[in-house]
Amino acid sequence: MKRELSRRGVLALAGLAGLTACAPAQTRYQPSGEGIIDVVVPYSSGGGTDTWARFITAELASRQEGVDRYQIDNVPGGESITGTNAYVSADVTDGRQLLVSSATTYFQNMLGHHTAQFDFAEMEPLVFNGTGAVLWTGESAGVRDVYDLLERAERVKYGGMSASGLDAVALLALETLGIKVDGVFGFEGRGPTRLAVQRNETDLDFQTTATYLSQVQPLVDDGRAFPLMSVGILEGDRVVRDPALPDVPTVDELLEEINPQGREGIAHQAYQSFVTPGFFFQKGLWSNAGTETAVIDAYDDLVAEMNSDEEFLEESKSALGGYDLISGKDVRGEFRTALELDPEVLEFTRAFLTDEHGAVLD
Amino acid sequence: MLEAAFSALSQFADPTMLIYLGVGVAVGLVIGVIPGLGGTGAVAVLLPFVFVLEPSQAIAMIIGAVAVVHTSDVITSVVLGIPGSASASVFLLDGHTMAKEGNGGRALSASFISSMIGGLIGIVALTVVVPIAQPVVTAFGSPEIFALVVMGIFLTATLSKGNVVKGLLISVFGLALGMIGVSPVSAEYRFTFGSEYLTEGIGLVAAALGIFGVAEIIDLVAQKKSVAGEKIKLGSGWRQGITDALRYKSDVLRGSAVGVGVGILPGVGSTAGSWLAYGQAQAFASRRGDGRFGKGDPRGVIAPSAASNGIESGALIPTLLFGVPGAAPFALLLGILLIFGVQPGPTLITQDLDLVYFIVWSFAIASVVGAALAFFMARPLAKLSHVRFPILAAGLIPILFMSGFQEPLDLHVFYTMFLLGIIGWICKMTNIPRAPFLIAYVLAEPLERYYFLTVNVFTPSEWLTRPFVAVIALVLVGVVAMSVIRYVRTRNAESQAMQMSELSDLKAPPFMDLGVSLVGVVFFIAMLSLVGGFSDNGRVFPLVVGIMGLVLAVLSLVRDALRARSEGGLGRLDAAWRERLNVVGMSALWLLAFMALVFLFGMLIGSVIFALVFLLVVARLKVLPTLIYVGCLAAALYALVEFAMLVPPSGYLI
Repeated sequence: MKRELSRRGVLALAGLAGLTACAPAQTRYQPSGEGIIDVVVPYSSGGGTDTWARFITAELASRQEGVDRYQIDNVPGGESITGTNAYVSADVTDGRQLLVSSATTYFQNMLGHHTAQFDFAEMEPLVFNGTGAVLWTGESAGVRDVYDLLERAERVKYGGMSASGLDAVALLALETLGIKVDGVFGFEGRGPTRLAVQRNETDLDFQTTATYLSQVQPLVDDGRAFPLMSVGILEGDRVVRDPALPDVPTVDELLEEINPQGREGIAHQAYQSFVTPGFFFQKGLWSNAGTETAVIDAYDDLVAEMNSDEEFLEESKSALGGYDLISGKDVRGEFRTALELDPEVLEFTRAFLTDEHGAVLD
Repeated sequence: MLEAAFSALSQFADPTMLIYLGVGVAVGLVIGVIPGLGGTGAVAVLLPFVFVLEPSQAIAMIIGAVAVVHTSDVITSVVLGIPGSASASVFLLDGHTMAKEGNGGRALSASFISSMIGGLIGIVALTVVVPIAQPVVTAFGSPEIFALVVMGIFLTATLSKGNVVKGLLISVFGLALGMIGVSPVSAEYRFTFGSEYLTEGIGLVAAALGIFGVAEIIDLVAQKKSVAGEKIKLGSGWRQGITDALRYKSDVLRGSAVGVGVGILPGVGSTAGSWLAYGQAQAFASRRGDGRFGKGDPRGVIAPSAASNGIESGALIPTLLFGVPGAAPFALLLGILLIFGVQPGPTLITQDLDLVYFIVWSFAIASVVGAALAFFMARPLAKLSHVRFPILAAGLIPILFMSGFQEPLDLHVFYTMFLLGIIGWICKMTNIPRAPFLIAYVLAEPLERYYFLTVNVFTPSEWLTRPFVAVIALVLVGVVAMSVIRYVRTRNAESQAMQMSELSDLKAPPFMDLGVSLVGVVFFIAMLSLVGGFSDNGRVFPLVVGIMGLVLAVLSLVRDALRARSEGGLGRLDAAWRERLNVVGMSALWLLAFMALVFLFGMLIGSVIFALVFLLVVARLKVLPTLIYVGCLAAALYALVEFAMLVPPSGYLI
């Protein structure tokens, strides 16, 4: 009898194993209901982009009629690809479901990630929030500005997380100026890369303006750190100095001075293509391609309203990094131009990141 | 400074502030008890409320939760033998053993007191360190973190007493599993087989709950016993535990110190930190020669308890002063501070000293209140160890799997947990210690990351001569030399005497050991065959780990073969074993049935159907109690989803 039981058991085991062979995907769109807008955040809760999403949607909801709240739906996994793919495949275009995205996801799109099923060049941006960024150095290299760096025979060390992420922008900027660096990648975040410069482990580091002002500016005031260049901000289609950093030259300014011909060069084209989604329009609230015009216009109005609301501007200073919100409708063209990489530029960028900095792209 | 400290304290004169702190403490305690959910889970629960509160209220709430999570997660580990959170898996060794001997109350009270003291020491350290934190943190770079991680890896060897080769083998297996996902050095995918779930690793909670929790369920469900075996009075011993904590005050102090140290260094993490604290307590006790570690030594509970809260308070230092989250829950705190316009950084001390002290006071008050409340919570919860296990399992299985699901939010994690559960059970039966697996798993990534950061930045003569690195290297060399000497001396004496706790009640026949070694050989050959596709940097660690694993597996195979010969044959399963296998097969079947139900009907309905059938058929509960039980379970799951913001897996149909 025992035997019998175990044989039956084995059969049942096999049957059940078969039944459980495929786990259902967790990405089906389930509308939360009347008055609630669902937002897919393809990152874990509590990270930078998630916090931005929670802040901005709460502000939006308080200004929208008929919208009680936004429901944040974190779909992490696959380095933000899982959630973004899920959003695109649900294909909601009436504004009931939106997506929050950030620079690294755009980069995956641009560098051609094989599992990415989305194309930001076709989707509709509703709200953007950009940020500036600063490349700075500590005391170790004995460098005080870009000219020192150009004269230095030995390569300096740049500390970053991964060459195919936001660090690509800094690497391309340095390449544009003809500065060769040794990249040290694998740091866990922007905090550790900053500490590494403070400990004299590495020489160069790249921070967003807000973090730079709070964490690095005190060092600069003590003469223990030096800003080298900033990405600036976009004014119309011109890059100008960041008002928060009036004394730090922009990459474009330096290029004009050091190597005016470089403006036409392929490295500069690549830099421009990556800095635009990487910083000028870093975080965004998105909707699918083919979204109803009424939805797009509504967000355009909301952004205008918020940007003229003094109280909101004051309150949001820290959460938005000190930069105004940008209407997606206004800058859709610029964003798409940046994303549509010339094949030659793409080829150059891929080769540069893989050969010079050991990035692994697929 | 004093002025700022007292003005911060005066904020608590406002009773609403205490209420928010209390809400945080309550959430922290409850989330701590739920298997698999720790500090990050607790902060995530509070996240949606943060945006509607005043900054100081929100901060009080979050600090309150983080300060007590590691006080209450001990309860689950000690009472049920299922990790209350990944870092609480350390309490399965001595804590749970004490509970099985009927000393659960003693273990818990010793733990609560130590964890309260650990939290307070950490917070005093924070206050003292604030003015000098800048040089302290900048003195510790990648080489120091790397050295600490290596020390943690060595710990796996000391926890492998009795079955050293297999213990090392399973820690190498842990390293291998820790490499699944995006490589920290080259940002490429390794061992993901095209699966989106695997790109972010198998998940720490799933690993801890699988290898310990699911394994326990598989073993106990069908045995129909309660956790504590027979009826034992739990009431006694509570006072004894307090005495223990006071008697072993040096262990409390050292544990707290280890905790604060690990907390200050971002990158090592609280799971490895609590095991490091356990390791040092064990090392000190064995030097004095009075250790009963692994067999229910109270110091095995005291040191990691003190450390786990020390880690959280120590981690506040890099979080507040450098804007670098020192522990996972503080990454969330950091985001929240930014929203409120507080920029963590060196300027925080000069501009917002009030806030720093406010956080300090919140942590201190929460630690004390949390420990007191934990006593009240522990008494009713401790009774659970007298309930027949199948009755518990009907509720535990859904909660365990739902917790494991929270990190990846992908149902494929169920497979991982199930498989690791089977592996954990086999380890239990063949006397392979499981702690080394978990430690190696959590340290795999930092080991690789900080190795490359170290060698890319420093020459060997630079980093090996840094004082902290040199000291750790000397300690490790000393430990290895001493154990070799001791091994040579006691070779002829009884060498199997020093067994770890996980002695199984049935002796495994030789062919089972052989089978395990053989699976190891196959696994590592398969792993090595995949290494070729990686980039130059990404290949180094998988290659080294694969070779180490293969060598150990072959060594283990030879040893097992020799043993089989000396025992005259491969052995066979006796009746007791066949009975056990039948029982375990049935448990596995029930788990698969549960998975199938969730895949079909989603978490809530799947769990309800499962629990109904399971309670009636396996636990043989009467109909009315079954209905009440299932009703409560459904309500609990619903509450977790609705109020604790847990995400329920959805199935094909619903």
